[in-house]
Amino acid sequence: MRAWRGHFVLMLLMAGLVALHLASHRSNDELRTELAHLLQPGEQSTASLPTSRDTLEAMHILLNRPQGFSRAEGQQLSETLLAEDDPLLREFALSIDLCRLSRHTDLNVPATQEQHVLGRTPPPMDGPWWLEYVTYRRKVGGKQVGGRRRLDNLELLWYRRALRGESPPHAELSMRLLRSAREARVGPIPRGQ
Amino acid sequence: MKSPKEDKQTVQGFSRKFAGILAAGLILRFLLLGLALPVELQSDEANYVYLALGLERFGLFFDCYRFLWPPLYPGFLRLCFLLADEQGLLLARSLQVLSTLAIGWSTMSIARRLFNDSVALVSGLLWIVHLPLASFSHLLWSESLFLALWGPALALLIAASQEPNHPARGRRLLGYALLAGIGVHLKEASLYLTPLLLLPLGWTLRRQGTHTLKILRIISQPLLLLALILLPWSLRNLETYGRFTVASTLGENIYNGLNSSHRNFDLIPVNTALQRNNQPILQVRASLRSSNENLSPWPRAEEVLNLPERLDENRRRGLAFTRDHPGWFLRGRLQKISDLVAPVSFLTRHLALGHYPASLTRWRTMLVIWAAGASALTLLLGLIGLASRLPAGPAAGIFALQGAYYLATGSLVAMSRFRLPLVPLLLIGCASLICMGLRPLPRHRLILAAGSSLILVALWIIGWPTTWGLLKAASKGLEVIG
Repeated sequence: MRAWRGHFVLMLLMAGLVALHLASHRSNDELRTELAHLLQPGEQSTASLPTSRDTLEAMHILLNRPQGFSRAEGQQLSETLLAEDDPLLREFALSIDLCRLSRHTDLNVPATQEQHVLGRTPPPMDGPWWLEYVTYRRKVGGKQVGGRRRLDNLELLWYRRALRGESPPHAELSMRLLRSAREARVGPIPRGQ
Repeated sequence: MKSPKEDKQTVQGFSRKFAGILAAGLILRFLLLGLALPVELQSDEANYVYLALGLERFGLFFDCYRFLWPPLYPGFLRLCFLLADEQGLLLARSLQVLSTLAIGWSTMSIARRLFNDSVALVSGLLWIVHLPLASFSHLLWSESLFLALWGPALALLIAASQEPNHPARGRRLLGYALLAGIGVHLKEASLYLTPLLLLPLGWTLRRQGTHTLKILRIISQPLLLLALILLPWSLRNLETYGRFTVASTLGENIYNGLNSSHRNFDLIPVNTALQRNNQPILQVRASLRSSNENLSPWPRAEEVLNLPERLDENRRRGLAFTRDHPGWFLRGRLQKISDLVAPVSFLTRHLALGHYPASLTRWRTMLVIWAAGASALTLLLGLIGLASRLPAGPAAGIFALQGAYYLATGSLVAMSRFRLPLVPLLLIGCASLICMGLRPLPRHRLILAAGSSLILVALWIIGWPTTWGLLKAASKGLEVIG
């Protein structure tokens, strides 16, 4: 039996991990209760709201589970979050988790998110807007989740600075937005052979 | 016979050379990094950075919609941002350069164990100058970190398999499982390979007459450790996506690999840039195009909301398409394997795309010749060397299984990056050929070497139109196309 000791230790550790998982598992109903202040904003008191990060985690799980959330609910939640004061909640509404579930335009892009980020003329082009723009527009996954083009070095630098509260240089950003709008009109570039 | 003093001097001499080679490799890679900066982000590099930013900003690991990638590389980048903020990517690239020491060390260690000191030193020299491999140390793909774990893991496994009765066998196998398991969190591709590579050890033990239960005990311990390492993330995915999985990329790879449009990621960004410039794109040989059969591509299952279910549906569609078009499937595999062994690299692709600054591009023709030459010679001589010189035994089984595995994954989706895990093995084969030559060898080994090299040359000929176009664009710029 001594020779199998290592095996038992490893299996015990795995059993511990599974037990931890089972103990911390939250059902869809439990997650919905945690998120009630966002899912039924009118009916809930906002006195004892969980911190933003906890809320984000609960939403992330619920939004990705099979049958966790419908498109209609996703659309509703997107609108609620985009109207929040917390910038993190607004940015989360622009992430893949909700863009996937949002109502899409004729051009197959998430309608609410597209309108929020690019609907204003001219866009604010300050630090908080840049964080939202990058979260929405530079995401992995393609047009149907709002992603166009990929992040480049300069945009990353501006993002890092926006995290510290700085705004991207106005003139340079304007030129960049103009160029991407022009390229978007060229239409999709055929891939493959 | 050498005296103990001479023996000691020999060992010291070898160690000095060994360390010198590692230092030279490190210097070259840091030099390359210095010349390459500020290299622009491309494709998955930007995707990894985006995921790292999501991790930093929201504390969440987002999926990529089309993939559920393993978490460690975005986590590594996130850590670099935490430590160095704006210089985070420079820190990441520098740490990757440092990590390549493990690749050089493990390549030489394996070569020394299987052959001798000379082969080890030559394989180290070849590791220094293998430009495509060196260039990955400054690119933001997980390959460098993965190989820095996978190389030592393989060295430990080969040691355990060659000496199954050594008292350190258990520790070596646990070390293998630990490093390979962490590696799976960087690159999912090695998930099934890691347990598979324990088979040669099982076979060796069986031939020695070891009792079945003892074999099971020996093999199952590293497997349990591997499972333990993969368990936390798999449980996280179960909680989030309702699917017990480490990562999930097969559905999208099937979309890319079993579809009617030929997708080679060495080619796609270059063709995208050519298209943007209204230039003709680089095309595979006419006989290997699906347009001959008027096949239209099957679409991704965008309507399925849950990611693993969407990827499953892609897989179902891909397999159904393959069943309906077996001829295209077979022709497509020929092109894929040709893509896998084409002597291009991400270095040449980046040069073609103009992602490197003038400090590097001023030597672009030389770099292209160097990179393409290194790729081609490593493939050709490495294959001949391994076919002719690799000693029979468990290590040969490990090499063969790894080769077959990456050939199989490469036949689904192929590009030069996917052959990278084979490069250290090919370098060892190359070094063995250089040091030991072809004679005297048994006939079947010579036939194997000749056959495999002929197949390689045939695959190069098949892929030549795109290879030549890519190399031309890399050495002269995209404007030469057309």
